[in-house]
Amino acid sequence: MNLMVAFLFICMVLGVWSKPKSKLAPVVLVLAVLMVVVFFVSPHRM
Amino acid sequence: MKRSTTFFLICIGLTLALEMQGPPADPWANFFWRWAGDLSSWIPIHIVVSPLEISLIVLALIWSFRGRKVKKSFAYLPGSLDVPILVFLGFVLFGVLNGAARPGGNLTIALWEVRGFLMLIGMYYLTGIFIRGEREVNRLIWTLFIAITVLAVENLLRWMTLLGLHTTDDNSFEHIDSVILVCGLLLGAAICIYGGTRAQRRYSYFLMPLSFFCMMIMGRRAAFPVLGFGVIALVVFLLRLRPRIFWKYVPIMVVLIAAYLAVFWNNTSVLGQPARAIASQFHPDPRDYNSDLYRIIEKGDIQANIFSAPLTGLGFGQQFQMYYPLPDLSFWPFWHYETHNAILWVWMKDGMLGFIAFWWLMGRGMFDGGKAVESQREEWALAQYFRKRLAREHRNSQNTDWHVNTGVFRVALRSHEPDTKRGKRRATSEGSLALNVPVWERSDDKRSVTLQRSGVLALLVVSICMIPAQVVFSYVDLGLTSERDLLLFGLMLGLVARGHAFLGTQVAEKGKRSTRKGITISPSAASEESRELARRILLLPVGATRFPALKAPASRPASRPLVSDVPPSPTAQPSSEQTPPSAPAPRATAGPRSRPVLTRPRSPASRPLVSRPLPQRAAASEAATGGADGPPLPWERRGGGAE
Repeated sequence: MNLMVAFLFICMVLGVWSKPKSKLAPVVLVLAVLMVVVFFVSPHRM
Repeated sequence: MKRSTTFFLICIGLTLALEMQGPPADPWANFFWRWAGDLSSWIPIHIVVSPLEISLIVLALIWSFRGRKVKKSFAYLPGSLDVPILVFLGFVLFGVLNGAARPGGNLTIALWEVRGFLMLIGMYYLTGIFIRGEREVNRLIWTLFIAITVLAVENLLRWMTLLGLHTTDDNSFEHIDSVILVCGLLLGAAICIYGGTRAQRRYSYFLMPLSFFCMMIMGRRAAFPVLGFGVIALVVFLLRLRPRIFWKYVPIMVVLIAAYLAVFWNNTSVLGQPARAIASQFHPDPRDYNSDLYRIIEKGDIQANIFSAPLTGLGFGQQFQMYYPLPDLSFWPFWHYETHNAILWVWMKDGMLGFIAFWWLMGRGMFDGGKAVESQREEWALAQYFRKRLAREHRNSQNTDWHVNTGVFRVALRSHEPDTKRGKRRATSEGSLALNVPVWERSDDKRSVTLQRSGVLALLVVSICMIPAQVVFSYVDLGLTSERDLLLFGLMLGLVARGHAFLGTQVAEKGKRSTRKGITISPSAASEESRELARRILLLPVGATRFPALKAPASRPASRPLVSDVPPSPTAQPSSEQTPPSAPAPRATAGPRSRPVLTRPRSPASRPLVSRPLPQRAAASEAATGGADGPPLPWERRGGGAE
């Protein structure tokens, strides 16, 4: 669960602290894919 | 439209206020569970939809049929999460078909399982239809306030009368009450921090302790981690938007919480429930140990089932295999279908791609919400910049160009000062500059044409905070399988997705922004608009009537332009080269009614009025002569400015 909560807070920090015109929305999808892949590789992190 | 919105809000209020379960002796819960319960369970006709669902379907039908005739009032407000939520819907449907296609699938059970997700998605779209502006958001805040109060009072009465001031077991209160009460607590706190109407703020003082006390008497451990993660998200926004408040109160709160935990660590009374939620992670009592053990075994089962079909999942309507036998919960019809860990349950049922789509939706909610809140801070940056300059220049009392120019802003500020009657404050002359203040500084003392008290930002922040809170709750306590819970969650996602629109700025493609009234302004147009504003202000002849909207009422002499006709210093030698052609010397244009505002003698070193062309003046002069591509103005260089 730690990784899930960290993912959410990273997304929030990206939105709050990124530059106004930055296009970081696709990064969220990349992070989501990475997180699920990490879960798949090491299930004890779920 | 207004009646439809009212009915929509009533549906939300009833769903949040009325509990689905309770002790048999509770007459309130035993009657009102019918609102969210299937019709077939309390009437002889076999209809597997609830009055709540029927109401929402009727609202959607009204919108789809009547909306064709009255397009303006029944339009749909698009949200930034439209695509992620549609993708997630696609994977939910795939999961249903996948489960039905596999041997042993049960389509009826599958529809029961995805009922909550359909509620979430439906509420997301209905929010875009019926909650379309600041007014509706404030009505929604009151709906939430009233519903949460009713729920808290009902739980309190149940605890006092039926339970004898003693929480007996987990089923004394519904699981979802924790999330709803946390929502009320966070909303009250956010309104106190980020502003709201006066009545909202006063009601928050009543609702916050009520919600917190109700959480304590319920005895649900999950409520406090949910509250904790919601508060952490709230504090992050506090650090960004109101850092002074953060550094003033948060360290004190941390110390107080640490002291509370130290004192109540082993306390099992009502007051010790928050500490128990943390302490039980280290040395659980038998009841908590059994609860934890169930979830550990269940998690092992979920992981084993996930790896049996990692990509496609089992499909909805399929039983999961209990590789590690679970304690008997056969009284629960979904014992073999749903798990307490509803987050991993999504992967188990919907597969890896559905799980990615789910997290994409959650992450985009946090990201887009953060962006929307940040836009509020950017808009405030300009006004804050001017305020600082005003204060600094006023202290120094030097007659600089900047001082003269900001004087008109002082006039604009004074035109909204509280020495007039309430009705008069509302009326502002056409074309007057609006004082832009953040919502938490809005009051009846500072009112302008663009601003009024509102809890929009507070509700938006709470909606974002509820995402991690909801995830934490669903990880341990069946959150994503509850229709009542996902109604609230869909509402929150719908608000987050439209945060820009509610706050007055709409981010469109290629950096375009539209105002609250829906007027799209391209970056170039915005740039030209800001240059025009600068031209009008920076080239304003002091004391002249070129900017009539900024003139003070005749009855208020204090609101004349500052330093408009200060006696020039002996060293004042304005030259025609330095003064733009369109800006006559201040002394030459000073009106007969004007009088000195700064009376303190200036030092010889102080520079004369309009004697030195500041960069801003040079840029504005260039703009006045058609040089629209000049250097950026101060506010254009800041984050939220036009490109």
